[in-house]
Amino acid sequence: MKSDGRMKIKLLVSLQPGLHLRELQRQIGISFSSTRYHVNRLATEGEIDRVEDNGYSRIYPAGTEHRDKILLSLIRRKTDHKILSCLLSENSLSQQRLGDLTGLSKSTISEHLATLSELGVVRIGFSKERRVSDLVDPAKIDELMNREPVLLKKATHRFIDLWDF
Amino acid sequence: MIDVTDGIVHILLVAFSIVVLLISLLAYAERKTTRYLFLSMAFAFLTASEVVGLVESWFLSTQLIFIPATGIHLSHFLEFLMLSSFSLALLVKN
Repeated sequence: MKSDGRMKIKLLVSLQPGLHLRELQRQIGISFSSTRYHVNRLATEGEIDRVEDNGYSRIYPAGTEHRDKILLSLIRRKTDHKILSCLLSENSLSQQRLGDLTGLSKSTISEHLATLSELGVVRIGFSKERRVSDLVDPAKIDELMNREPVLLKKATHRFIDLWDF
Repeated sequence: MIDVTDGIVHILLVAFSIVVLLISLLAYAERKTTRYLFLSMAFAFLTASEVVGLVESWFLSTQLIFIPATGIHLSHFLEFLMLSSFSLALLVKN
């Protein structure tokens, strides 16, 4: 049973790198403490990488490159996901346009763009005397974003969380 | 005469209850525990109750449907079953 649980964890993490502990627990359907135990064992044995990120414990397949970990983590954060999705669909977006598309405030966009720029995910330049943002590697972001679950799956997971006590 | 606004509300109720039923069935398929089974049953009863309400409103000119020989309003009975299923889902150990 123990090895079975760990096999499942490894499989799920390889299919959805950047999963956090709660999501993983939901998907394998065992208790949170058991999931944490198995994850800790796998991390100690070097079978997976566990990274603490903004209060989440994210899990990646062993050997995932540091840059990919950053990108996967960003994609799994709601606000960054919104911004990256917009930048993927339209090139050279101004902060004003990003605000219109995402519904986020100017200060939130500015803060997130600064972080994304620091991480080398977004390039900030000027066009017609306006600050515009572009993705440095749109193909990579597109590839990683397509691994995200669809809306119905998200709703199902929220429903499971709501009744999981 | 059918009240169009009331009819639209009934259609929306049926549509939303089907969506929630679908989500609860997906949750049951993923977890396969008794709690999620009861929740799916509760939402199935809710959907059935809303369908009965829609039929009463659209096809029977707001005439009520009763369970034969009991005198119980079908929609109320389905709501009773729904609440019972929710209670069982709350009480059952996951």
